[in-house]
Amino acid sequence: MPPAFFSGWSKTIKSSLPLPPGSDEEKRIDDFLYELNEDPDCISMLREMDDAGIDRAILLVIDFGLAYTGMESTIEEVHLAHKKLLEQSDRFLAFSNVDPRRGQEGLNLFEKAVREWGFCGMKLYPACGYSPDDRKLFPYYEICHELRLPVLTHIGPTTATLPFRHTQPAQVDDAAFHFPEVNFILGHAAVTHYQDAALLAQYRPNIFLDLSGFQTAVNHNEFRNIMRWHIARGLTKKLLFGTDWPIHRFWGTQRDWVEKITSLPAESLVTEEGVRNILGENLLNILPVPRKEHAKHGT
Amino acid sequence: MQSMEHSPETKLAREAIARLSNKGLKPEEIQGEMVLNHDLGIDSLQFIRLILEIERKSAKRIFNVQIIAQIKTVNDLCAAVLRS
Repeated sequence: MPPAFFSGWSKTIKSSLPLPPGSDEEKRIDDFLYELNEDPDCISMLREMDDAGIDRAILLVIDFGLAYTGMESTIEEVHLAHKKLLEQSDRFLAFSNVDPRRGQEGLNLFEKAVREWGFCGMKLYPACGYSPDDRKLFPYYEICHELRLPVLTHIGPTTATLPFRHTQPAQVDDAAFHFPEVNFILGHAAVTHYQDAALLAQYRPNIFLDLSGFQTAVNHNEFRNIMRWHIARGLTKKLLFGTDWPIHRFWGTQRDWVEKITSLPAESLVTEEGVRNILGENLLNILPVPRKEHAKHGT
Repeated sequence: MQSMEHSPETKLAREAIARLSNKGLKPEEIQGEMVLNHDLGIDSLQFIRLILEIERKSAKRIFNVQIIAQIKTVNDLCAAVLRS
């Protein structure tokens, strides 16, 4: 994680707490946040996936190279680190992300990632300074169309050191309109800007809503109402389970998050079939990868 | 459970919970099986305050991410404090 990204994230949390600036408690928060992110080989993640019955997880590359200076690794090196994880475990899938302002060189890297290195989707992080409807992205979407790759774009606030202006659901609409056969997943949008996002998902067959970050809604006792909102609009087949590992490790385990979904039928919110769809089937329907025979939860 | 109920460390934890909860409970009214979030209204930020306060008043490092992720109830919190 870039130091400036970390710093903005940490400052946001600290600004919500009544702590004296520079106090030991502020430093302790940084300790916890560093620790949250310490899982470079995904060992803890795999352990938690086993415990939760999660079969596969998608790893997301983010290209911060043009948004921040002084990055330790090039974007190619970041991709190669993810490629190594793909080679180590068939339980991982990965989405590539290259800032579209990198020009032809960036497009070439993306093509290599999805054609040769096994990446099976595209990630966008518009908070780095570009909109999902930027025409520079259209050649990438052409490739996604050809290879049937989904595009996952971050929606909503992020670290305080990046601008939020391109992270609204509406900024995906033009791309979704011009590429009706490319499936767009709005990251976190099942719980962030969820009313605007639900409207898009209702009227655009190629727009899906990712649930990751729902832990915050659980924490504020808003999750059930949000699920009711989506279900009342017939969106059970548009919701995709995600946990945003490692960000929410502090508040529970992967197992806890799966159980929040599997407990919904008992509250008459979703059917058992709806749970299966949310936990994996909906995503499998839009991924260009073979299904696993015995997947229990997630993908 | 007897020792958990009466140790100085868990007394300190219950006092901190009572102060940060929005339920207006006294420390002695807080039951071990109460869930911090749902029963006591301790949200994620209040939870950070809670663990920072317990560490500060105990003058030692008690928590890490794996321990924290397992804490759901008052008993879980008290057990983590006692194990430290």
